Amino acid sequence: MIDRAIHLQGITKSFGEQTAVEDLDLCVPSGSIYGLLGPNGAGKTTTLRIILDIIGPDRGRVEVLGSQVDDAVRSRVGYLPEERGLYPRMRVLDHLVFLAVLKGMHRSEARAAAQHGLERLELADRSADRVDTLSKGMQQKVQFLSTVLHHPDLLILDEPFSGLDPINVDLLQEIVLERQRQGSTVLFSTHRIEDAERLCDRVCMVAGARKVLDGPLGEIKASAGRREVLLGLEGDASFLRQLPFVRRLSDHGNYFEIRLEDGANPQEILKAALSENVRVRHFELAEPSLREIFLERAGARAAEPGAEEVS
Amino acid sequence: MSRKAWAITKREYLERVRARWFLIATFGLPVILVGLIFLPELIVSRGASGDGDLNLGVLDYSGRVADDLGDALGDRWTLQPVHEEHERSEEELREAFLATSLDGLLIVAEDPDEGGSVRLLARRAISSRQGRELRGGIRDALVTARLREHGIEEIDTRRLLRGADLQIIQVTPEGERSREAFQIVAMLFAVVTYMMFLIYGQLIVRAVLEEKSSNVVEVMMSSVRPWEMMLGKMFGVGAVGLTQIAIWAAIGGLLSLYGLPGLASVLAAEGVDLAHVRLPIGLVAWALLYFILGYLLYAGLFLAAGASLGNEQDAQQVVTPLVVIIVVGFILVIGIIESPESRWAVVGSLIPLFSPMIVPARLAISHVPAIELAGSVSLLVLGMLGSAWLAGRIYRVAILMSGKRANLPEMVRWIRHG
Repeated sequence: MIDRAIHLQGITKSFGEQTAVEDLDLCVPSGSIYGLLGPNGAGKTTTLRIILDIIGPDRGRVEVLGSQVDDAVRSRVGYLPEERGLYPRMRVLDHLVFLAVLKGMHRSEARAAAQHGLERLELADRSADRVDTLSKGMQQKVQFLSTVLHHPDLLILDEPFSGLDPINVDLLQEIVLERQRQGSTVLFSTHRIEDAERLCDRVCMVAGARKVLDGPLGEIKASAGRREVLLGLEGDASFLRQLPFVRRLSDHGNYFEIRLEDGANPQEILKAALSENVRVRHFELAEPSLREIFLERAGARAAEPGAEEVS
Repeated sequence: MSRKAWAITKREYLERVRARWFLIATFGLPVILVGLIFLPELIVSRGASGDGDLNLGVLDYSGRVADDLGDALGDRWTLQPVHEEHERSEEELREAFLATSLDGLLIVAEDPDEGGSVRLLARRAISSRQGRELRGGIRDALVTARLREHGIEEIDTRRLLRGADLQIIQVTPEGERSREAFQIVAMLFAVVTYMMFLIYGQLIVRAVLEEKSSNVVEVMMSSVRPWEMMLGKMFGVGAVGLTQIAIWAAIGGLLSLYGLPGLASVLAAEGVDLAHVRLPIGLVAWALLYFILGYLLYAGLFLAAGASLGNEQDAQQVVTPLVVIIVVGFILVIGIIESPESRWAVVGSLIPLFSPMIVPARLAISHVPAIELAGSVSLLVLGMLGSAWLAGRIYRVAILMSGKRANLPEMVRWIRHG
């Protein structure tokens, strides 16, 4: 029975003085799209490398697809590293076939899959070209293709969309979702919260080598409560900063995300706005965006290193 | 070997053999080698610097050399006797010589038997072949003169002085072989092994560095284990080397069958009759075994060196000691070919770093006792396994190091600035 595609228990890893991951538990349910969130340097890549057994943890247990990582498991995983890399002098099609063979595919099967994939990514005409003659974006698409070519049960993508234009982001996203519909589990790391919010069922946030949040997206948002006010204003909005019951203010120019203190009445905002000489265009009570939750959590953790962990 | 290691081996091999440099290296190196053998010969024989006939004046104070020197030297020398009534000072002689159109002025002192000097004032540099001829001619002329003084005349001095052609044939229970012929073979083994270790060692370093700098390594590590990558690389690159040697052997075989104009004569000058050089299969097999084991030993070391480096500049520092070891091995071989039974040869054959170069050369020119051979091979195998083990340990950790390095500063920055 595999209902957990990935199960980490008490993972710790340091490099010299530097603790990259500290006592991390992570449970990724099969078939989910799981986002690993965190600022640069929070230990995301290290965590992914530990899951793939590229580096071993100092402490803790790793279980992937129901067992410890061995050759059989490796063949069922597709990995897109953050630092993309292909052999620059190999031909595109040869390269894809080579990487697929390393995942246990047969040469002929791999060749057919690669050709089909290249067509889908509109790279069919480049299949005989050397990798280093391709543009960066194209190379990235080739690399992405190589991670899904062997129909992996688990896709691990490290910052998959960075450096791509919106059209290609949509294209790759479509392929990821397609894999998920066919039963694959997807774990991807990102420092861009919008990506996670758009795609993920569940998220785990890490900051400073520790986990600060973990769970289904909906639950995380619900637990944060509907204390988020979206306000659209015309006029001088500086009064918002003076209000005592505003805990946090995100200024987006013409509209504001406002987080209230516990127990504060959102109507107070409207009242204050009416007494000022401004025009209210929009007023909405909303779930906090993941971004707000993240900033709050990561910020708290950074401010006081001993901050309590939420899990 | 696992399927994955095999796939990596194949990739390493095909990518290299298809590359343009492979053709250039495979066919360029023999041309350079042959050039190195022939070029000095060409300069000497064709005489690019007017190494033609020489017109000498001979000032013979002793009166014993001038008459016979002409016969002793042959057609390419023109001699003009020069007479001086009085002994002239060196300075005067030089001035007088420069005023003439002679190529050189040979001055024989009064008593060359008693250590009197013979000097040649020459307008241009004299080639070493001409020097040898002149030296021999003077000797022959003097011998003729001395014989005449003892009442022996009408004798062919050259014939008198000619020795016998000494052929050294080592006879062992395994058979016999001619020293000169196999000295060339030994040299060939040594040079090829030396070159291949150096070239392919550096090739491996570059391959590992490229893998690191292009970040392929991380993708690879998600599919295969470090040792599979390592073996694939070592075997793949090694197979390219063997292919190259096979091509050279084929070229060499064809040349010795159909003959390269000039090659036979060059070899003959070294005392080698090509017709008598037949490489025993056993010798070739031993040479191949030592080459493969030695290659794997050095490949492991170069691989570990390459993996532990961040960039091309560091590479030179770590690779240099290995290069020095290989060069020392080659220098040892040169000495050992001169005296194959020396203690150096026996000791060197037991050191795994040197034995791949030394033993095939020794086997070519002399008999190596079975017990020594057994010891040498076992130590080499141990050395090879040791190097592979060491390389495996270093490679596993070091191969990802560049990525790690890039991440640490980011981590530190984040912790500092929240």
